[in-house]
Amino acid sequence: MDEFVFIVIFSILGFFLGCFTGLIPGLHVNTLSMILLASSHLLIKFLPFDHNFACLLICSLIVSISIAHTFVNIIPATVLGVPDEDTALTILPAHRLLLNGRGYEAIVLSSIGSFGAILASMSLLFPYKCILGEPLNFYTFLRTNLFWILLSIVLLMIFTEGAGRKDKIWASLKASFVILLSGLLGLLSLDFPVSSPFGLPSSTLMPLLAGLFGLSNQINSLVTKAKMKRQLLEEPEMGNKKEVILSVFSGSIAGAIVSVVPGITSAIGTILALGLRGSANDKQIIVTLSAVNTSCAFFVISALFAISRARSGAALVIANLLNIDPWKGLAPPLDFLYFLIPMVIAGFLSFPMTCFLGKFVLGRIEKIPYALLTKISIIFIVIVTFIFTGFHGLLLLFTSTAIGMIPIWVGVRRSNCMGVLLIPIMLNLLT
Amino acid sequence: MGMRKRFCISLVLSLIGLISIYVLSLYVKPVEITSDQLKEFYGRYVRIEGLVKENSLTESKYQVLTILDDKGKEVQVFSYKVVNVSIGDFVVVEGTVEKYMGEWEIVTNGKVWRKSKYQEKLLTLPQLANFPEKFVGMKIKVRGTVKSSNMYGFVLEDGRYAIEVISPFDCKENSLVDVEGKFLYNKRNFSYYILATKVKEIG
Repeated sequence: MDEFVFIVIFSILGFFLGCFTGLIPGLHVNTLSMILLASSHLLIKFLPFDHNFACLLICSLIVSISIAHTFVNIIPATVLGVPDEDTALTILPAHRLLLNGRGYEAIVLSSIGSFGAILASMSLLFPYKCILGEPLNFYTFLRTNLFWILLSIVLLMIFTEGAGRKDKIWASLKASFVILLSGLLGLLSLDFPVSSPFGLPSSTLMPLLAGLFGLSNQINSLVTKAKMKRQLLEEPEMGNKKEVILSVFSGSIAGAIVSVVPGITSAIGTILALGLRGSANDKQIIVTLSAVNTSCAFFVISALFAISRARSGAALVIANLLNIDPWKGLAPPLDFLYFLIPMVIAGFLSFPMTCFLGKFVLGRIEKIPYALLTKISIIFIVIVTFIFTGFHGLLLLFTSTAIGMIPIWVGVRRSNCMGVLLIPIMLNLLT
Repeated sequence: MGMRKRFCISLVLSLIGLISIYVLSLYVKPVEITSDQLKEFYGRYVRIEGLVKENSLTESKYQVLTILDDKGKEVQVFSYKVVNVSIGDFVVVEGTVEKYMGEWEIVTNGKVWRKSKYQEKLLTLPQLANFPEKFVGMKIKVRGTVKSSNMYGFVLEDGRYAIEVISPFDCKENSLVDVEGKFLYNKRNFSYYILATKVKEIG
């Protein structure tokens, strides 16, 4: 009983930390997990429990952070990095709603998608385990055919680019160029030695992804100077319930795929989900993307037990702290059952909290010094990059930002920049 | 500023960045560590040297090497690419320090190179003791402490391992030395020994 109470307390603590990481652009949950791992021996000493239970509590904290983060990060994603609609060739659905004064609707829709994904992922948990792990062991098939799976994903990304546009072929060519250029960046830099001047754990992925997807977008919003409209803060209509359920389930299935296939992100998962469910409007794209994000965070933890693989920084930290019992048979291992507690708590608390924070921020959006906030966010990303990866990391950040801006200027999806991982992995599988 | 101009600026900056990364990667080498420092370098890209003690493949056709570093301690290396090395080879590994199932390991993408000339590398007694057959007849260089000096030479040891050295050079008892010479096998008493050509006191 005591154990349960402490896990609940740490889950609530993790929820607050997840809200914090989610609100700060550039502070990824993986970064916080690495800091927690680096300081875990101190935390374990400080906690008045035996070593194993202290590790379990820290892991519950990380699980809760990673779930809450996927809910709340819609707020900076919607509010920051907004380009001017007249000058931007492609614009994210949440930004389009914000520019029409419906930013709160985007945040509520995203929360519905994330919350729905928690419920959908729970219902998909046993099929996920049985298909990927024992008895079907589809993960082995996936590993042996990974090259063809990734090639199909790349082709899907290229050929769905510019769908419905007149210049579809030209858009596909531009997408191929972005994939190849970011692939070249990945080939040159994935083994590039980066190290923290403060002795912290470092990874080349951090500056690469921050530049390709974070900094490039923020610089674009500074250059294009979007004008903010007064935001409607009434509770939006959910729309067609069937459509929402379809978006949540297709997003959750895509999230499960993203959690096991290396080199693909939630944005690519959304392309897969839209392929699964057919075309969708802006509202359903937001629900789907958020469902992919949250279900991916859910299944990444499940993958640790179902297929004994750590597929994210947070999962890697958990694998370091705990001796993971593989999930054999029908009954899940005890540690995994413990992890369902932070997942559920973070999910249930994050839904109203995201709506509350979203309303709070959007209600003051006209008073927010937008350009200043974006500049602070850019400086923050640069400082965090230097702290974790030093001067070499800054070079990677500079290059990846320049490459990350190309899809914005040529009007193709930024997810094409995932060539940074896809191309090196595919070449690796070939040789 | 038009989109075309912005695109050109981004492309030029991208190319400058890519070229800089390429040029820098030719000169910058990862930090060289030993087995004791794995925890300290968690998550970082490092370089480690050692002798291959075990070489196996996993079910998914990944390679797992166990190497003995200079201190004779074992380090696990997990390689996504199969590399052509054999047991007893001296190798240099570049990869990221990670922890798997509670054990520290170096994860690499096939960045394992064989060092062909043993003479260039100062051996330790544990490395020599684990693969004596690999070095028989070869010129080697090994470090240890002088013990039990006699008219034929001395015994070189490190506290755990010891080997007889036939040497015409005078050495102080308990001094730390680098011995260069030929590593040979004595059939008569089933033992290995070093025929020293140079002994250098270093402490």
